[in-house]
Amino acid sequence: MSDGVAMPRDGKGAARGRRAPLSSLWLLAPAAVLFLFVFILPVGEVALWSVQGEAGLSAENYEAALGAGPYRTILFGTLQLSFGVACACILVGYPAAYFLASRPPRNRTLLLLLILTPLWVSVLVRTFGWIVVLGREGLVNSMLIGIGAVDGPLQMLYTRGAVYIAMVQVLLPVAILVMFSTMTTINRSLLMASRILGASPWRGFVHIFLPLSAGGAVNAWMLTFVLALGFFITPALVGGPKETMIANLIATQITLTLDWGLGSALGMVLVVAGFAVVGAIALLFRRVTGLSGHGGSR
Amino acid sequence: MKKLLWSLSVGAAIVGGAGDAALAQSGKKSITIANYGGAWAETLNRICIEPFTKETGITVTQAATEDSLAQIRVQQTTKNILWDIAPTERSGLPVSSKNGWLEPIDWSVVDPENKLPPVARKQYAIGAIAYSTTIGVRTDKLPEGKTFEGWKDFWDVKTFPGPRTLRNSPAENLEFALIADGVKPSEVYNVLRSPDGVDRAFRKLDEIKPAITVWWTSGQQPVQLLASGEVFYATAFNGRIQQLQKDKLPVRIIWDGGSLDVSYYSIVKGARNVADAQKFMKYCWNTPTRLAEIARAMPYSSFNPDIYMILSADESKELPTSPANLDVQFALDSEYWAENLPRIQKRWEAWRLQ
Repeated sequence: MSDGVAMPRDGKGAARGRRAPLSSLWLLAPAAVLFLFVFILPVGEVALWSVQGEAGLSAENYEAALGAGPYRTILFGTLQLSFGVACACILVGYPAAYFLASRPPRNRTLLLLLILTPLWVSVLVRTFGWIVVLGREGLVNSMLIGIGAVDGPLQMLYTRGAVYIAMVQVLLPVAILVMFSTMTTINRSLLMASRILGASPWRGFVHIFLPLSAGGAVNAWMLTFVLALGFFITPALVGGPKETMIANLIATQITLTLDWGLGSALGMVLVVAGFAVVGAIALLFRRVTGLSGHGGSR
Repeated sequence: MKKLLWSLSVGAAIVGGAGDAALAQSGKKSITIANYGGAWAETLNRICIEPFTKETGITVTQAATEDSLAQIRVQQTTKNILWDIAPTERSGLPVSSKNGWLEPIDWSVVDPENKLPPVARKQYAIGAIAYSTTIGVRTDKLPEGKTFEGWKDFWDVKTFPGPRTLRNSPAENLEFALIADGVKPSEVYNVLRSPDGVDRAFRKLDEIKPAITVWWTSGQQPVQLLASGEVFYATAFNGRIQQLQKDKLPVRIIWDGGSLDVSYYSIVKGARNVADAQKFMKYCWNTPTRLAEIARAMPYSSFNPDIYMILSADESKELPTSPANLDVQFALDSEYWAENLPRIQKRWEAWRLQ
């Protein structure tokens, strides 16, 4: 799994003049210490491995990782696939989160539980489940052949589509939860006010609810994108060769060819690429909309 | 992955420390065997470890691992040796011996009667058992009146149409391609080492590529694919296919041209209890009665020829090292792969993406 990339929350706290007093910085200490030992130091060590050549410092591992060849193709493929999966999670998850947030609080618990239950089942089991559903002699094909919709079995497994379905299924609960938590902070009386002032429900949604929940959707996008970057079991089991993820390559270098230099370089490239995409999206979102991650709750 | 490596070494330090303390307290002797969990670990427990502890008072702990070689390297670089015995199959043995991460085996203890053939009697490892990567065939999907013989038929998609799966690894697949191209199993490594050998294998692989629906990565996958009818022909470990046969699936094993993989175990350099580790190797992996029992429990067998005096002909015929099966297979050359894997792996990734 990809390591945690800090989620930019809003940054508007400062603008509102509620800067945290320095004396309360110690509250960050436990997290900072943990982060130092389980993230900064190990990543630093890996960064060192990635630039060690036969004799001293060397960029050979980065040349191998980024030069023309299979590694670069797979890196771009990974970014592209994760981008698509994250977008799909938002498109599918947003209406679900909206539905959840508009239920009365006591009904939400059960619904939330339903969304969370898949997370208790191992990813491996869920992926094997898709093999049963999408296979040649699987549920969908048997049904299609049974009703005479197709003559022979459709090739659904080992395609990009199968990877999308399986990855979205794994990541969707995360996306829904993040968007849901933003939506519950939105002050519903704003919507009521718009209705009183004569706006249609649709207009109220587009002008009030959508902008106020957009930050949550962007956060959910970034979180699912980063998680998707580190996937490798699911794409390996239900995807074809074109769905090889960079994480598969890293695992091969670490455990099989024992080329830890190249493995580390690929890992560093993934971390940097992940940061770059997430950073660019966050910047773009702020620049274009001037909106923050949350608002309207006061 | 990065985090994993680090936590491995940190975790290793913590567990190692705890183990020390426990050992000092009890004053008992113990050894730790790294192993690949699952049914094999249970079999080992029942047939070797429990009686060994009862007889000698030495406690034996199995530590689960999935990437033995990487962990051996971590333990050697951090100088924190947690294991006495570790699996070193495939590139594991040549790479670890070259780097000086292993203790030599004292063959006067482990094989005093000189029963094991050279393939199981390495300077730094014992070949405990062998397993085969064989072809599994769904017999109910075969065209009528046709028998499937081996690699030539695997490549013959006209006579034997249908989806297939191979392992996502150049090792063993280049060999299979050469056999399909007419090379004798005993000759594959001579051809692979020749200047045009690797190119020839990749050219042959080009032919079969469109028929490969999936490149499998974990041992259970091809079995699942065969069982669900996702593929009709697959490479898989012989024991897994035999599991399907027990479940009454119409599946046949083709031993011809199979790849014999030796499951090596080594003593890690700096291990705490080298002497008892050697004793255990002899007790478990070179005592015919126990090896026969292991072969009965799982269809993986030792190279010690005496086990075939204990096992019946019927039991023997399904074992990878039985004389008849041994003749038609080739032994995976781990030295060739240790030397060439990094180079060929990159070509393999590029070839798969094409």
